[in-house]
Amino acid sequence: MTEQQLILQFQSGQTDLFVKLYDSYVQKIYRFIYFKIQHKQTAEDLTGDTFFKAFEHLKTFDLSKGSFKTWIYKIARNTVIDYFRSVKEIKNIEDILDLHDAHDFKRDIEVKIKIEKIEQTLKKLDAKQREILVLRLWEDLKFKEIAEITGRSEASLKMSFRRSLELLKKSKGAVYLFLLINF
Amino acid sequence: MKHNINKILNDLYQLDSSFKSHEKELKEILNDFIEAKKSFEIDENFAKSLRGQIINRTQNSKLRSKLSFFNFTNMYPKLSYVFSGALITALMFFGAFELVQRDQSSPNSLKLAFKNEIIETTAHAFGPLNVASSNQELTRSAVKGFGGGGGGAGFDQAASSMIAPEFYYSYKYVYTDEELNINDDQLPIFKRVTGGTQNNALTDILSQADFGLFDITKFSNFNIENLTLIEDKDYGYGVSLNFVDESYGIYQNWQKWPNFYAECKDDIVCIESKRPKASDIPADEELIKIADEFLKQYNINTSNYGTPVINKYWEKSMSRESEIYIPEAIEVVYPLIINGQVVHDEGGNKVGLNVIVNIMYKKVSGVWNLRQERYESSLYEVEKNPAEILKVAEKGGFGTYEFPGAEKQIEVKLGTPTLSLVRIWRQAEQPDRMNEILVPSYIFPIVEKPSEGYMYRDYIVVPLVKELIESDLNNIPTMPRPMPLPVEGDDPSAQKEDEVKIESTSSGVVEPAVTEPRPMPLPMPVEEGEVVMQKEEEASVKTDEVVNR
Repeated sequence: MTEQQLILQFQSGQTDLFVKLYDSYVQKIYRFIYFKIQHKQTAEDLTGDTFFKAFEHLKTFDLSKGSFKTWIYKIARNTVIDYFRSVKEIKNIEDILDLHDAHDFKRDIEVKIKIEKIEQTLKKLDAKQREILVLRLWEDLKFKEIAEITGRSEASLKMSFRRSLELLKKSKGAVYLFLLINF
Repeated sequence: MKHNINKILNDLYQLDSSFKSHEKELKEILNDFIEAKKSFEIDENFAKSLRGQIINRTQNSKLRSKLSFFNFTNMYPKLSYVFSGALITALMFFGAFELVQRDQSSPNSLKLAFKNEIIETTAHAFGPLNVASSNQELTRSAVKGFGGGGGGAGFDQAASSMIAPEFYYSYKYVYTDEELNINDDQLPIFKRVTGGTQNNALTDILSQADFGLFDITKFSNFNIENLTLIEDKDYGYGVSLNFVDESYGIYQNWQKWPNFYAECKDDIVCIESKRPKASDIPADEELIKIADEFLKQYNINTSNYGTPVINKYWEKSMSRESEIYIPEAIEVVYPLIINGQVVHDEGGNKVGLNVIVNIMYKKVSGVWNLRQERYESSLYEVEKNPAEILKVAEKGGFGTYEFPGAEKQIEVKLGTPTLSLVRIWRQAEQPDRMNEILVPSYIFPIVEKPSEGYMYRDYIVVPLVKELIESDLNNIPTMPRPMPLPVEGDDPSAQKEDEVKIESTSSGVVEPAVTEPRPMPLPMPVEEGEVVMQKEEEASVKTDEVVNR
């Protein structure tokens, strides 16, 4: 059964099929959230919230307007944003994605050690670029899908990437990594 | 992964071909980044637990959509204020019954489905949890402390007025780890419900059968309670279906499995040679693999259960190296997960699906506790004061008390507790039934067992429901009653109390003499809620009864 058929059957009443969607996406969504939060317990809570929200709203999801994949990533992203808002008053949504770096949130020490190797590289990128890196490299999403999730146009993303590309080309090491943000 | 890296690089070169000269470094960095992905793998237990919650929601959602046809609040808006949640619960219950139905694609097959679900009810829907039935003794754990640190932290073991041993240790359980912090004022407790499965079609078939010896059609209103099916083949199984408790059991057909006791008969040498040895015990991984394969082969649904563990209780009292006792079968336990939480017994051990593996034949010889897991949930107040919780933990957990006068008190250290569900039993409305209730509890692991005495407990359990903690701390059982002291000059061979002597009178009529009964020791004062054993009526001989006999 394709994902589309599964969703249509869900919407016609076979709600128990949702667990198949859960099985397909739980690892990806958890990873996406955990990378942002870097605290296991919170990431688990937010992962749960994401799937509960998806379950509640899947009935009204319009397949013609986008894929389930990008839709659930969007829910996950918004859930993380809501969480950051709840722990710290943020007026500008653009600031939220940088929040984790700027403020002292709980981070799992184990994660910190494990990604130390690439963290120096990642520091050269801003939060939005890092987000795209994760979605492209880890989740293998196409650029078009990334644009849907982040709410930005493909064109604006490409432009900002090119600018970042120029910037990083001048610095050592991470420039190569940044160029992974390909299209 | 390699293919992915190459694809990414090719896309990159299309943007800027000068990066091609740095291909080696690029590949290295890409690999590092993709390797880092492993740091963010989801915890398997969490994923399973969340899956269970999702399944519960999908089932409740299906139930609600069924009930929309019976939506009282739409039909009678005013009544929505009158009818309590209990009525809605009843309606939901009715809608939840999975009746026997014929599969449309296969009309000759019967579908007997045990449903798994949680039905939310109003707060305190199950009534008080700390009240004993008037028809039954209050069930309390016996006083523990025979140097053993607790004979199972039973919430509901039968009370026994045990006599304190001459010498024993008492234990004080000490917790000094992280501060306990309970944020919720209320937490749900779950009461298992049964009786939703009906087997009408099966009953109809059997009710019309001709058994030859009697006319079954003369009976009416049958309901099948139990059914057993047996495989007639080597290493065959029996399957028992319990429609009252809504549970399945699978067990070996003893007639068709090897039995060295029967082969050896009374030959001890023969028996000893065939008994299992320590070398027969498979590694834990192999035991779990055998269990997993069996469950898969028979399509046994494990969606309500977590990662399996091996039950090693038998090794607590004797090591396998001693070979004093090596069990023929070892149990693999798949912990039950309800509402995302693992369920434990009163001793803090995980409960769930039990798969018994025969270590001699490396085969599954039984599966137990495969049941319909259907619960009502209701919110109850929880104890938020850590000091009260620790008072219960300190004495050995819920329902555990020590005799005073121990020779020595030993401190036992407790580790950081986990919050889980613990299964307890409470009297049901029917006198011969008990309700199975899951209560949120702290399970403290015993960090280090003392070398003195013998402690077989691994955990201390404290339920967080406020009324349970209050009753546990306020209803300390009284000391065992003293034995009546002998009266000076008593002769054991002398006339017993209330014995009637027959004596001759001067008139020649034989009349029984009346003996005054000895004074009974005064009873100990009874505290409210305490067990009172039903006493036999005190025998007393009354003159008029004797004379008028």
